[in-house]
Amino acid sequence: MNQVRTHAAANAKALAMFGKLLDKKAYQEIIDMESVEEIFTYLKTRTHYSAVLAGVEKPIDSYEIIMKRYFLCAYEKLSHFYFDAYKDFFKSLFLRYEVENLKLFARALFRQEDLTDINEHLIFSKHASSMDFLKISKARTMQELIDALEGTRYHKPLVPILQEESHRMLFHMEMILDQLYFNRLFETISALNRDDKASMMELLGMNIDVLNLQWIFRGRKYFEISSEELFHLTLSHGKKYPFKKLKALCYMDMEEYRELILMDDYGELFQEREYMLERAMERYLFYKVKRLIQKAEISISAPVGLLFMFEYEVRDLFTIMEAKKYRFENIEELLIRDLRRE
Amino acid sequence: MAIKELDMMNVVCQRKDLDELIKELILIEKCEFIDTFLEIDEGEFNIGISVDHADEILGMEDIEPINENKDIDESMEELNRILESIDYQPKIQRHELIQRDVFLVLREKISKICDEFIELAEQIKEKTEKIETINDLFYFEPLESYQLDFKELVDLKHFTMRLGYLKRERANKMYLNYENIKAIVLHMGAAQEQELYLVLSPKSIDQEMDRILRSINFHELTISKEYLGTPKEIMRQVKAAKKTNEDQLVQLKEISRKAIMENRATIDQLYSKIKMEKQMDLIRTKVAATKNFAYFSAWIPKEEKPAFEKIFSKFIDVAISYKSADEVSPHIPIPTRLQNNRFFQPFELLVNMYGIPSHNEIDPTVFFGVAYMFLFGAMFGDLGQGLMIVLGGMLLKRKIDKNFSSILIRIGLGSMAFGILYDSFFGYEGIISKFLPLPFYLRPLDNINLILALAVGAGIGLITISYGYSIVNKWKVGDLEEGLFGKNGINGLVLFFMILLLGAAMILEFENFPLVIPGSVIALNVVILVIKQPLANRIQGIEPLYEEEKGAYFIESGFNVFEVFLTLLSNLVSFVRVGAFALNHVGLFIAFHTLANMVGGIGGNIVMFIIGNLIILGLEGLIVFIQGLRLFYYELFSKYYSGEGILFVPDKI
Repeated sequence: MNQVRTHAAANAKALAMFGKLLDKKAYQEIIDMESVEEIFTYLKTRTHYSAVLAGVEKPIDSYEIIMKRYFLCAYEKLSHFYFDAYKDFFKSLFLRYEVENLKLFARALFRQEDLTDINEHLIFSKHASSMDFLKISKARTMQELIDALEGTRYHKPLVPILQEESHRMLFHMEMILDQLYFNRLFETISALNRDDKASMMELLGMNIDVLNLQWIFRGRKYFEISSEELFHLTLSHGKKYPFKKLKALCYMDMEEYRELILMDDYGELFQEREYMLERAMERYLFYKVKRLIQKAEISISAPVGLLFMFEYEVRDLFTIMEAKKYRFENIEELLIRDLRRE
Repeated sequence: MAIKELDMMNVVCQRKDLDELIKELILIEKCEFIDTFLEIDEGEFNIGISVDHADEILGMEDIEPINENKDIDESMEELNRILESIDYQPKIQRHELIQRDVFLVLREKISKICDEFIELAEQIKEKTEKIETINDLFYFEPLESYQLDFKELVDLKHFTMRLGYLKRERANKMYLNYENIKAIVLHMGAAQEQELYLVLSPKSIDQEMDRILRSINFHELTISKEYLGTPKEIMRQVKAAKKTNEDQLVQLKEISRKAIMENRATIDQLYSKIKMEKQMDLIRTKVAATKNFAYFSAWIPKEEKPAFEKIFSKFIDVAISYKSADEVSPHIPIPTRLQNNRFFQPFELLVNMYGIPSHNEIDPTVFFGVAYMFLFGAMFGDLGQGLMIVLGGMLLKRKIDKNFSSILIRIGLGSMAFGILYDSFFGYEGIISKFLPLPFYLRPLDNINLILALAVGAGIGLITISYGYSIVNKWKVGDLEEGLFGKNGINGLVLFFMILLLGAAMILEFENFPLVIPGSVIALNVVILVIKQPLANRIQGIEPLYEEEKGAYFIESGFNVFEVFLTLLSNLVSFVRVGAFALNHVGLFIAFHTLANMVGGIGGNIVMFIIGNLIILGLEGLIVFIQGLRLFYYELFSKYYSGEGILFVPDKI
């Protein structure tokens, strides 16, 4: 009864939204289209995006922002149905956008780009975030960026990275931000009801496993981070890889690491080319979440699952459009979803 | 009527006179400047076309805003920074505002006084910081039991010693991997709710160790070379140093206090003048200007025009025009100037908490004041306790918001008046009647039904007055639909009385009373409520008759009828609480009397008397205060008061 009272409204809303997401046929049609304009017209007239895109003319750039905001708005709407611990949980989910935005800033700083350009492409919840991105975007150096964060939860943990050599700074920053986000998520999930806690912990555990594997791989291959540091930076609360196993992974040589992972649950991640690692991770989570929604009764799973699926849809659509713009072949391979498996 | 009329004043003056004119207008404290470009853009800025004004009007083509002068902010910040560090709160000296310094001169003077204090300010800052760093060293306190010479550790040739905070969870992770870490990591104790660790590692791997420690968020503490030895010795030195530095700080503050005393007049003067400059600068940003002329607009009280004329007469070439609020473009919001007599003025606080009256609404403050005193008194009627509230209000006059303390005095008076009527003095009935034999006393517990009935009666009275307000307000804005046919208009009032009549006839069983008359009037009222919009639009000849779809309109207005009946009933029943609280007040006293009897003895009686009165005064007083507000906000204000205005705030220092 309690579960019904907590989740009924959000579940109804989420499932309704779920039904509107694009199906395999729609993706096929979109991929077969010739130009980006054609895709926009399709989205504008034949999909649920008509709700926000109708009446919007060019420039094409503005579509991206509108679609992202639309997604975030769905997020916020769902969060309004929840209270107390559940509200906190949703709020902590929103932190991801803050974290991702900060990573965007940091990466742009490293490429020595102007941060103000990024500013208009950021998405974040005005309800859940009190960050002053305008102020942050004025930073010209890492020092200024971290100074601009003063007063937020990110400031103190990030200060020590300023002592790192510049090429390692980015890696550390990203890991610390992820740590903050996932720790907060773990805290809020711990406060949920028993069943919801179990299902969300499972999702979180998988997410953390996959991230840890990726971090270890990248940290050793590209950033020359020592095994000790890597082990310290790995995220807690993984599902398949508790600290003991992680430690072993951190000290293995790369070939051995690869082989071991390939044999294990997350094997499919490393089967493809290395630059596709991130996409492979997302694909893995995509199907895990999908299964979660399919077997879920009234619980937190459907709303949270929807958010994953919705975001992945928006990102796949952007991928297709980008690919069309630059005339890529084999678009299917770039997508998070596997159209052959759908 | 307590909402006073405002006029819009448009002024053109010579650019060179602008500053002086603004200063005079700030000092008069009677006008609120608005962004002149609003007026100009709306095509509303007129000064009457005549040959005299030809230059001013022609110049308007090249009009520009005046930008903020950032130097003023800088100067002000400079002064504030110094004042903050020497801990002096300057006072505005009004007479210093009259004579203006040229800003550049003022800036010079401010710099000079700042220079005089800067050394002192820096010394104070330095000392304060020094004390802070010393305070940080108190982390050695929990280590006092260790017989460990930190001097030796720091001086090690081949090893680096680090001391710092580490979260236990992170430390555990490090211990999981201890065999791979080339360091000794020791838990030393807890300080300031954090775990303190000591790390000893070979100097040759310093860089690597730094990285590893960063990756577990090790917060390294600085070890001061000044204070070394065993933790006990270090703490002794640290404490002594703290004492010395604190003493020095006290001395410095004493010196600065003396210096301030000597320069107080100058500081106050400069502070007042720079405040004035800042205020003038803020107003200047609302002014439009050309090379030779300046144009500005402001709201002024209608009856104060002569005072303004007097100011303008001091300047040459000033063109002024006035407009009444009705003539101003609807895009420019009209502020509300509230002016109530001294007795009712404090109640504005409570009215404004709900909302500020619009400029074309009746100010409900007087009605609110009278009725609120009445309601509070009726619910909390006690001569002694009322007196306490009055005294409390007087005593707190300087401590809390002046308006709030004045409200306390007034509602305390209400409580005293009803206390006499209820014959209640600190809960004892029968004392007042002994000294002041009135022909009639209304003791609540002896007249339970009467008290409840009177409460509802009072409610009927207050609701009727609210209807009156509502009808007048609607009439003032020409809202025929709501004013005549709406639920809070004349139609609603008739419906209210007919329901009362019908109810009275049925309950009191009037003989030979034709129930059909009120019944059919009610039916007519309901029909009018349902068709009010098309009806009003037809009468006024407005097309289309319905603002939304016809079907939707009737469904909505059909349901509205239910709401009207429910509201009427709940409004009325709500006022029963006035009687209920009057009873409750006596009831609580009886409870405390009983407790006092149970305790027995004179001491017990006195203690219970004091405790009981305090609880009743604090707890019930607060509840009644809130309930009174609630009655107003929900049952009465919702009928007629929109409270969507903005307050008229004259520009001043």
